[in-house]
Amino acid sequence: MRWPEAAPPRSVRRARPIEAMRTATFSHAWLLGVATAAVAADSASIGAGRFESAVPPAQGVATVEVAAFDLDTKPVTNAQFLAFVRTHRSWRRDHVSRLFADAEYLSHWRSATAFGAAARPSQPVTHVSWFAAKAYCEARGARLPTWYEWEYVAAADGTTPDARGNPLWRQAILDWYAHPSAQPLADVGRAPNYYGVFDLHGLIWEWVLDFNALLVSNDSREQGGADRARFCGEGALSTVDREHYAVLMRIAFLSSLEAAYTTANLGFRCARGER
Amino acid sequence: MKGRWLCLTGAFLASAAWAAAPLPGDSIYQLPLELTLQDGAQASLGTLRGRPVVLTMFYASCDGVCPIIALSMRRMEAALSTAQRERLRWVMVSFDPARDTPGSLREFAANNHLEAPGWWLARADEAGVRNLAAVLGIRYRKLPGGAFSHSTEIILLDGEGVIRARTSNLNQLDAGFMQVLGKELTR
Repeated sequence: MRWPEAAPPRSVRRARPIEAMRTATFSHAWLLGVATAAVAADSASIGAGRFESAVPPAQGVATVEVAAFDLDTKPVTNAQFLAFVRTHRSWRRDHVSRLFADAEYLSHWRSATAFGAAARPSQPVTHVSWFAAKAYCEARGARLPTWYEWEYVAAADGTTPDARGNPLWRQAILDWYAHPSAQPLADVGRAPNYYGVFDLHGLIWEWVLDFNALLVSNDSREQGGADRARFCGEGALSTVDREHYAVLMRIAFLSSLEAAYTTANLGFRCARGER
Repeated sequence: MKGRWLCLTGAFLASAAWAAAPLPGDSIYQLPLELTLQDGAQASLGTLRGRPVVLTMFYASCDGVCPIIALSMRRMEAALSTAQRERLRWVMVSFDPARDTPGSLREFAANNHLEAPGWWLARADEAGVRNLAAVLGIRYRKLPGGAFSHSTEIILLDGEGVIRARTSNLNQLDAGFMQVLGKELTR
């Protein structure tokens, strides 16, 4: 499938490093009196919380609870994914089954076992299917984040956990959507947000575990004549807050995917923790 | 008697050879998925190989559209000859591992007249449900009260587990779907 290529925004707002370190983990660890480094170098501990999602869980239910979990601070890179396919041969592009990845899978690499000069090691890996992303995370003892987990952390800017009311924040995201780009993707790790997580906006689209749970309307189980079932999410879209528009663009994209699809701007990161 | 044994052995060898042949790249039977059926038996998805299958996803406590899905499948069944019916399997896999058990599946089967031998009502674990929905392109979402919102699709698999047709028309027989089904049954 094809989707408009999106570019990073021209100017990326830099978060102050001190702010970026102020994660929920620190207070959590403090309460428990645990004197450990709670944040691994490549993963941020996100404390439990609640927020209003752009995708309400049900009619009349606005608030979503998110349990504590760990999230990779950066998207998975070409170098990391190459190491994975070298040890998990069934995920090489010359071995993978079409059921699990389309014909464009890892097509930006020079060969099945080398990405060559066209791709850099620290660029986010793209042209990966949901099945491949999931297999990578599972091989690490992790999983893909759920949509709510992703949305929760992605609501932050450099200094606040929920920047969604900030017009500048929204505009930066919309600018990224609007810029068609033939430019190569930037390397991961551009600017951390409030939780110390990088690149949630302005670099790539990301798979989530429940991408196929998005945009199903809450009343489809009630409908009797069923031929509109596949499109009933349109109703769900029209009812939500205009402020969520930037996030809804991403949801619309994710909901258009099938699990074997790959695109040039679609990558992933992993998460850990009970859902 | 001896002839019969030879015949059985031949059939066994033929089926073993069949099973050993690689599956097509787009066969959903490549998905490792363990099902628990309404009678409590375990079966992996791949054991459906060899005969066409009409497949859908549902959940037993769904009192809205799921009985209508079942009714649509029975309408398809009724449109087939006895010989055709014997070649076909009907499979309904639950979205709801938390609440669906062989007992609840049996109850749904009884309430919806799905008790003929060709019908499998099945549950899988949560990861299995997610994977199956993903290969089938079915959308679903668990709602706070424990119900599910889901797309309603009836899918035809050929004997190798490749998707040959799909319909979400629950109002009447889908002529296009039935035509492909007829073709699969004459192979």
